[in-house]
Amino acid sequence: MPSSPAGQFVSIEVARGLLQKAAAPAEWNLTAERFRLVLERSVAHRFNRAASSAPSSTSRDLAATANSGRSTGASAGGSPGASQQPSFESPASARSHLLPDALTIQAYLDSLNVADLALACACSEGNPAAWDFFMARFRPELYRAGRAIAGDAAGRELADSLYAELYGLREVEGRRKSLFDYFLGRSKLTTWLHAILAQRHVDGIRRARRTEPLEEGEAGEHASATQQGSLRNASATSFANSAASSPDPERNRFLAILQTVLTAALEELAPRDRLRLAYYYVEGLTLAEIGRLVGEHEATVSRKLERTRREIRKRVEGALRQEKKLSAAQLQLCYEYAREEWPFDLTRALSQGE
Amino acid sequence: MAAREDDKAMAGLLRRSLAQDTGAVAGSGSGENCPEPGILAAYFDHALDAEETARYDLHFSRCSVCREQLAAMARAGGVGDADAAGKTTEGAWAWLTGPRWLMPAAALLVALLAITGIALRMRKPVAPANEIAMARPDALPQGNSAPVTTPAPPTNSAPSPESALSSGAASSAPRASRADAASAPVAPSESTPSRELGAGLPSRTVSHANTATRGGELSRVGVAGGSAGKPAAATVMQLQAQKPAPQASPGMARGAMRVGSAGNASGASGDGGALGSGSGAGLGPGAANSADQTVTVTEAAPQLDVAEPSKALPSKKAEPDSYNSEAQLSVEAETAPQPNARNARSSAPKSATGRAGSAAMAKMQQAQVSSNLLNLQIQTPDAKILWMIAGPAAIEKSEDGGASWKTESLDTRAAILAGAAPSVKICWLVGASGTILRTTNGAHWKTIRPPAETDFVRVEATDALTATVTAQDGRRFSTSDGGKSWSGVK
Repeated sequence: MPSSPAGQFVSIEVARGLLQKAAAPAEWNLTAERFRLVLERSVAHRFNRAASSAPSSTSRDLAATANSGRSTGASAGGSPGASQQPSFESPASARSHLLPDALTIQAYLDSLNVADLALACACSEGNPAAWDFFMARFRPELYRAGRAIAGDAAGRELADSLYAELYGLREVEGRRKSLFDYFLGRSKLTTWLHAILAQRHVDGIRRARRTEPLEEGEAGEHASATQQGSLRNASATSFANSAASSPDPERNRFLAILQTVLTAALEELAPRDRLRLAYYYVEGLTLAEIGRLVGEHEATVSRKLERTRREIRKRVEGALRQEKKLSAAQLQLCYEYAREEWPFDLTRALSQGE
Repeated sequence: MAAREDDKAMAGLLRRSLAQDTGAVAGSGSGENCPEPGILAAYFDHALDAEETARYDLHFSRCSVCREQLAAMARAGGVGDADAAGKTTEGAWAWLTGPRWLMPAAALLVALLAITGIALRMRKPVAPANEIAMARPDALPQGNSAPVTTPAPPTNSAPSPESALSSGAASSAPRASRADAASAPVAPSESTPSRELGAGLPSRTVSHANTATRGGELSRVGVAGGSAGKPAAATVMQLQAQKPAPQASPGMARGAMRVGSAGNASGASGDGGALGSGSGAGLGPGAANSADQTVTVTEAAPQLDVAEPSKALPSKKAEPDSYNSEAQLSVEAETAPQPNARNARSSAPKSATGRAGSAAMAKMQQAQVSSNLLNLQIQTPDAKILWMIAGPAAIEKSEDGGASWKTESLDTRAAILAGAAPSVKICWLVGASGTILRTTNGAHWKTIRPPAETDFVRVEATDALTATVTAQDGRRFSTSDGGKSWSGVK
């Protein structure tokens, strides 16, 4: 158990109250003391973290440990204890937030999914009844989610790989270390499991992409983008490629201008607007899925996407005309080129593929 | 068209730029800042406070690593077992309509459509009504057109019939009906909330009216798309000769088939009217024009008639209950001898012109509608890998049995009409204006030189080299060297 400053935020009475609210079955053998530790950890995690300006986290550790093998994966979620260290060292402004008032903490505690938290806590303790409950209740969902995320075959494996860690086969300092220790109750347990599956999955894909950079991944749309350290490099490369197929000397110039202007326009967008666009265009999510993520109805998503697109277009065209002094005809040419660009990239990719 | 093209260019640029944007961020050693699963999950559950949410919105908008995780979560959490299929189709349609047309109601219509399509197909094997109907084309060349009435229920705030009509008119229906004789549609109707809809959205809601003539009677088959639960759906009725055929209109949740004035009470509560039908798109390409494509259509809805706008008009104006006016209409329709020529008004232009250039557009649109409706998916030998024709120049691929879809760009602007996937990696696509594409690695598409500059409506392929394509006029060509050379097939 990571050593949070016990007793700093949550009194034993509060813990007892919340445990009651969680309505955990008696056979889970959860004590208020034990539950209080979990609550402490959650609170500490929340408020220490919020203090730092950047969401410091251990996701990289996670990737690193995942890379080095599953056996160490349990440390993945990032030991709260360890992750607090950097937070404490973050800017001084953070300090002022270090001790949130009691009301804030109470509100936070009330917002937790205590029932799920109690289950995670009991499972982490190795309580057989709790574990059985978990298996009965969450396993089908875990498999389903695994399949939805990674496909049928890989999905099952993905889900299965979590069990060992959840159960806590690894021992640290003589104590079983369970992945459940990293569940802080801020989301539903199901969502959290999905998040872990998603993280493992994406991590695996990215690792594969890195190790086989010259396979088709490189040709893929975002692979090349992510591989390139900088935007400039990426653009230059792709433009050069397309230029090879195009005899028009103006082409490169126009495309470069267009790209620059567009990048600037995207930067000016509100984060959420940019996020919607990225979900839609890069991740290929459906409107409903985007709606789920941003908490909007899909009709709203659709409307906002459309509005953002119009706005970008207006900005881009405005910038092209005014800053870059392009004529209407040249502007048209820009679009013309932009349109051709994909097919050219495709041909290149195709020649590699075949 | 130009605007549409520009939008496409813009979409491509956005895709590229957004990916690069994040690429730059992620490449520069970000990741230390990426939130852990607990935070992602809380974000996903909308459990973070405003300040945190804003912070992570910013992060996610630049970080493709996190976004991919969230996307995976959305796919995992968004797809319920039961409605996976519906969702899939819906997603595909959302892509098809594109950001440009993403009006709120689009999704709604799409859902309607998906339900209809599914219902049509599912019902086929079961419903006796359909059997009758199915037998009919062969046995009984003659049919009735079935005007659809969509009375506006009093209680309903649905637009007036006129507006419905006009929206229908704006949509592709009229064009389609003129160009193609055989098809069918039924009347569309329209749906509510969106004003933009009729105009902006190429409508795709289709309703079918079927009529089956048997001896002296008509047996009326309503193929209904409505919610399966509705008793009214799939009603089979035996009616006397002159009665108009009822029609099935896809109904949304509420279901809905409204049987015309046939006296059928089904309509009762303004269900049908409300959602009705949609702006009518012709379903079902004329048999002559794209026979192959139609097959599916025919199975499901043997007799499809084009509901002419003008015809629809009277019926709409008529009181819902006015039995007479409807009967009249149907008589009128009956006089048209051939199912294909059914539509009195549209009969002139029909099949002859249908083939001609002027009609090509509408035809394509129609063919496309039907292909999208019914032949959306291209199966591969592996049940998990699916392709889906998602609109002009767009193909989507699923590698998880349809749970999630990824759009792939095609190097063409022509409508894709059919496809065949002999293996998981190999897929052939054919479409309008001599479009033939093939992938041999499941990802990148190569344009194949076509044997003729015509619209291809069907393709059969056994491997990457061997394929047979069918043109809309029935000519068939095959290749055994991957399209380098083609030979006509008798």
